[in-house]
Amino acid sequence: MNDNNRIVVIGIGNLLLMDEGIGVHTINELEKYDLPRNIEIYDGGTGGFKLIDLMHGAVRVIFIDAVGAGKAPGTITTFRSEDVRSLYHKKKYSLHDTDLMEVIKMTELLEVSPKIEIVGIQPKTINYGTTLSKELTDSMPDIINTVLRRIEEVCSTLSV
Amino acid sequence: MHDFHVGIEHITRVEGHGNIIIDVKEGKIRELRMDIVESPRFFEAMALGRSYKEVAHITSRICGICAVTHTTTSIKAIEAALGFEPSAQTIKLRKLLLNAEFIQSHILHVYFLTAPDFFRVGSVFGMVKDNKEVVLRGMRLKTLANELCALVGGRHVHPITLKIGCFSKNPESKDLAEFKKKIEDAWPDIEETVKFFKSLKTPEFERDTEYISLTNPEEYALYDGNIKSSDNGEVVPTDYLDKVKEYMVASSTSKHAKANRDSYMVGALARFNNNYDQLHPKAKEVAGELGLRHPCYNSYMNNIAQVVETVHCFEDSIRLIDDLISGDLKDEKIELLPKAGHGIGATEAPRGTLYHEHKLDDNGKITYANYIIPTGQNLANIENDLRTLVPDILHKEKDDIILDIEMLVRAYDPCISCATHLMKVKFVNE
Repeated sequence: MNDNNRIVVIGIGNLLLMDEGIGVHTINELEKYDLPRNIEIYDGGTGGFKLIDLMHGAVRVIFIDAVGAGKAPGTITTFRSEDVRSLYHKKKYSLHDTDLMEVIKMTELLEVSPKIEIVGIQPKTINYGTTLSKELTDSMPDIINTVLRRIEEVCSTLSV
Repeated sequence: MHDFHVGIEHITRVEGHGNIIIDVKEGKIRELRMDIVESPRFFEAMALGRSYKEVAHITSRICGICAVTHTTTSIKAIEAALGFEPSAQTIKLRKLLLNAEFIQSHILHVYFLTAPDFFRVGSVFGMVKDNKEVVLRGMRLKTLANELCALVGGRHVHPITLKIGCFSKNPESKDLAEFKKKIEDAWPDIEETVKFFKSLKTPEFERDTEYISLTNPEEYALYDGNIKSSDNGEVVPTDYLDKVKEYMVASSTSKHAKANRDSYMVGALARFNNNYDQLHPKAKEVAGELGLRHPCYNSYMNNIAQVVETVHCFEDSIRLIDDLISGDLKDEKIELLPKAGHGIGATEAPRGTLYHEHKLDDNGKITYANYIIPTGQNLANIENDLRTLVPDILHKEKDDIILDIEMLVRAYDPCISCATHLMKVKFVNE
């Protein structure tokens, strides 16, 4: 598999702030799956610009992140690459200190920009703790299915 | 002379918020304070009841930028509690990893968070039009440091190979040798970095304060050492509370700290002032070229001290790599059994001295935890600097006053703004 098929999935967030860490929890769950070799999954934590180093050479990057969209806890909102740019000027899109939009803008500047999309999950509780709220724990199968389905769709696009 | 009330509202792009309130009437400061209004963090509470084996992984999540330092400091405290001394190889690998973190953190700060001030653009993205190569150079150096972090720490973000007693996986000697070559190849970028910061005019300012950092007769202290005050000498890390006095402030959810005076400074400039003699000769040369004289009482020059330390850390990494690959790296298998104990770890983080204290019960469960982070220690000193600065800049235009204030706060590289550049500012009396 060459780099042209490399798909990177990065879960971001702070594991110490309950649902804020949903992206990382999702990655921990995805590690149990036998994924195709061209799929790389990363716990991006609160890595900020460090995340860019994970994205070099990828054709597609899928971020998984907590997104406060005023919806029911656990609601999944997927932003395709063509929609991500429209989020640049929205304040407080991301709930933690890693400003994902700045990371994405920086990849464009570096001219190594893969297509980037975001799987956003509405959190219930952002507070001190290393566990997820019950609502997000219950949503985990749906979140995993959404991410796996998206990976499959992207793979099929790339193989055309 | 202006009467003004300036409220620099929360710093954007961070998890927490810091405000600066300054009220001046007829040239006199009526009120000046820095409020930290983020929720108080309960990391100590989260550590309680946890196993001695997992607490370092929890603390590594406190900060994405200083993850290595938090992990290292936590491990040192646990090892001290268990009465364990790691091998020379493990200490060298930890120092190498710490160097990687210092470089990436300092480069992030000087290139992406402070440089835009000199061009009066809102963020690093504002520099792209006229100074794209500068931004790209900063990113190249940051990427290089992150590669070293991944090589030794097992991944780019939140290291996983650091553990109590040893490393769970050593880097390969050939990979370390290749990395040394990469550092050597990066020297043109490092030299250009020095030239670039030489071209920027750091604001003038002077206020003698107390400087606290680790110190070590063997080396420029980052990993270990006694706690040194520029005022009154050294104490061993276990006596850190004899030196560092934390206290609560009504306007802030972060504790403040003082030592011999009513405030002190930690960070690159404090280390530079306390340990100048042990800097690598190349770093001293760069300090001279950048006009950083020893001792220096201009807090704005903390940025320049960070550039100097970046050079030191690159040179020190070459030395450590040479040392590590001169023999075979041994796979160490060390599993420490739990027992009751009490330990303190003190390490320099990029922003200043970090303390972790742990008490363990017979089963190795954490029964007491205390963490003192650099930014809390600097808050009182930032306020004192502002009290000195503001009366001297009242003749300036409003925008220039605000910029001077913001640049001074940012020079401390405060962790509440560890990912920030922009502050919201408004004059109330308009």
